[in-house]
Amino acid sequence: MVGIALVIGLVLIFIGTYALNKSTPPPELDETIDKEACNACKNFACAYKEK
Amino acid sequence: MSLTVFFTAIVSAMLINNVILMQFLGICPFLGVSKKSKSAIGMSGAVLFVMVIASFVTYTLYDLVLYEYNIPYISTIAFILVIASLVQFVEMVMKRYSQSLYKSLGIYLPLITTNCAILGVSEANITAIWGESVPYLDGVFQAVSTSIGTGLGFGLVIFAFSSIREKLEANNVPKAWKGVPVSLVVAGIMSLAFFGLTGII
Repeated sequence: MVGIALVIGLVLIFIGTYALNKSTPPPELDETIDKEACNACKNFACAYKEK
Repeated sequence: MSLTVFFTAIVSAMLINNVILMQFLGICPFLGVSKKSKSAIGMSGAVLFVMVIASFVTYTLYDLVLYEYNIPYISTIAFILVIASLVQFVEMVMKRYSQSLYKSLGIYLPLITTNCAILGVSEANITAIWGESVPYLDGVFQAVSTSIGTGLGFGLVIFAFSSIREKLEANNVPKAWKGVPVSLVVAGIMSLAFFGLTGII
């Protein structure tokens, strides 16, 4: 019984991490950069995104 | 638990019993993710993280649950489930914080689940370190030390191999040898070099 409970518990943990992984959206790094706005503001975020 | 045990386990697992070149485990990512150094470093980091956590969890699980309840025969299934869950966690963190690394690792990231090096280290910890008379803390310390050494050894070899492959790309290799053939020859020579380290401890 302990063995079955252990395996079921581990499977549930796997399903939980799998669901969390699938529901995590990847960060959007390839967004269009407004060149004029970046040249105007010259802030760090613009330089970072241009890389 | 001592520094001597720690460093002996690390040097032994990293150089003498190298997981790739001496035990021939984890060949899939070794050949698949070694085209670029950056990807190789990322893969090594992910494997090291999963390997260390997996070793700790699997050793603890075996010592405190599987052995206590006399069910060691389900250890392989339990270990695979632990490793699979850890890989999902690492993939989630990477997807959230490092998309470039996530994309460069591609299919090899979820394939860490089936990386026999990680399961091999977890199983080896039980067969080589665990014993009825070994105190839990000593055993888990040695298991984690070994897994750190194994992960570092994996990283060392895959990084060196990727650096050589990058150099080979720029060199004039005969057409028949380009790509995989010359890479396998390099892997063979590296394996011979590591074989020379046998017996230093």
